[in-house]
Amino acid sequence: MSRWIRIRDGRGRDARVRMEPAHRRGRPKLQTPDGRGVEAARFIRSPLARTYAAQRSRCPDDAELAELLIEEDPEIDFEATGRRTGPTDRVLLDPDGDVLYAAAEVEVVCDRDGIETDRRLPADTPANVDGESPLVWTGRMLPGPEAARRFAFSRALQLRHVDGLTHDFLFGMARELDEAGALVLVGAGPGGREPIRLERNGAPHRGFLEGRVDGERHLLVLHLTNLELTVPAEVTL
Amino acid sequence: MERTLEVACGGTASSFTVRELSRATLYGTKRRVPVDAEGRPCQAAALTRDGRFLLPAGTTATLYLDDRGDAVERGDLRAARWGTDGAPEAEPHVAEAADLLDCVVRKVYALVPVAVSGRLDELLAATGICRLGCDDSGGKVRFLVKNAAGYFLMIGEPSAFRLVGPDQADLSVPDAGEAWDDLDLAML
Repeated sequence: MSRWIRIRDGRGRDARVRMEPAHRRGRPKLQTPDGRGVEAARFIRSPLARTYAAQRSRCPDDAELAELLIEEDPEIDFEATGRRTGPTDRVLLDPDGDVLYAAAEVEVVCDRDGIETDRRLPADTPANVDGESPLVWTGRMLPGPEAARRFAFSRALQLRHVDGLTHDFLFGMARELDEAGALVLVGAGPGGREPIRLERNGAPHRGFLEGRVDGERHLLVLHLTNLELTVPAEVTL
Repeated sequence: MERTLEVACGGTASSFTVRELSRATLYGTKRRVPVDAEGRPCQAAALTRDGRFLLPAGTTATLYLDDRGDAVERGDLRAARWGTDGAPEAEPHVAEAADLLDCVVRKVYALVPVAVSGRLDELLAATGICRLGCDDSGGKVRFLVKNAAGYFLMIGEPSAFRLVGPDQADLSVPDAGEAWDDLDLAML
């Protein structure tokens, strides 16, 4: 399913066109060695009231807990264990195991060693690909081979025209990039300095446009990355 | 246990230790955590539709059942191939940047070389990118990349984008091509 994107070319003209994500194939189906299909099914091992933590809260004393486990088998629910869960709904539990009907959210920031460095109220960040301001062609070109060896492009979107005018617009960009043999950095906000967010509160990415032409046909792809191929001490992105 | 990658190339063998590269390992993480009124972190759980069982993480198990309803060990299962493009390729070969850009990267691994053969380094000297072929599950393509920071393994899926001509406009635009006879001008 394609979506709208507003983008500005190297000559300062902007247009609203469609962007189509790469088709994701998903995981291949699993099968038995002799080629028969299998179905994944979820079963109950033990419900919340039978977990170790629940038994521990009943019996803080080790010896008492051991006796309880031997005498009463409280960790096994003979009615529930082995049952298929069937369809379920997602709920949130507080640390006491009670269902929450309204939960707040905090944003937890951790460094690369997993140590929490900040905790704050999360702020909503809108998507910025189809707003009032177009994505901007920054003019910063990166040769294709260098881009491919430097970044991991984890998302790709093909920009598609919707009529003759937008075809000429996209074709012009693709031809310019094809002739340059380079990708151009595009971004949001003034000067294209801000990262691209495809969805509200979505992950920010840097975007590079790649263009190819063949006769009257063109291919214009927006490659998105948030990961540089480097080791931790050399991060520059 | 450390994972290793063995690459056979022109009768020589190279090996690397493998470590997954992600934003968490490079830059850290930023995540939203649900909390209760006292600011204590909460956990997600599944509630069965009959409302009888609350099932947080660790209280369920997934089994694979065949067409007779018998459980099959996960280790005995194989991925069904997608088609001919899933056939493994024997030797790594030089790839162009366009080959890598034609894929969407799903996983990245930093590689620490244990032993790199001269033949593999020769291949990498051309463009810095070698295609290692498809993995066992098919459909995915593996690239070995060498840059100033070191060696990397990238696993991607072909994006399958095609060049488009002037007559191949995206017609999935909402309202495009709809009839104009439902415009009720009388209500204006």
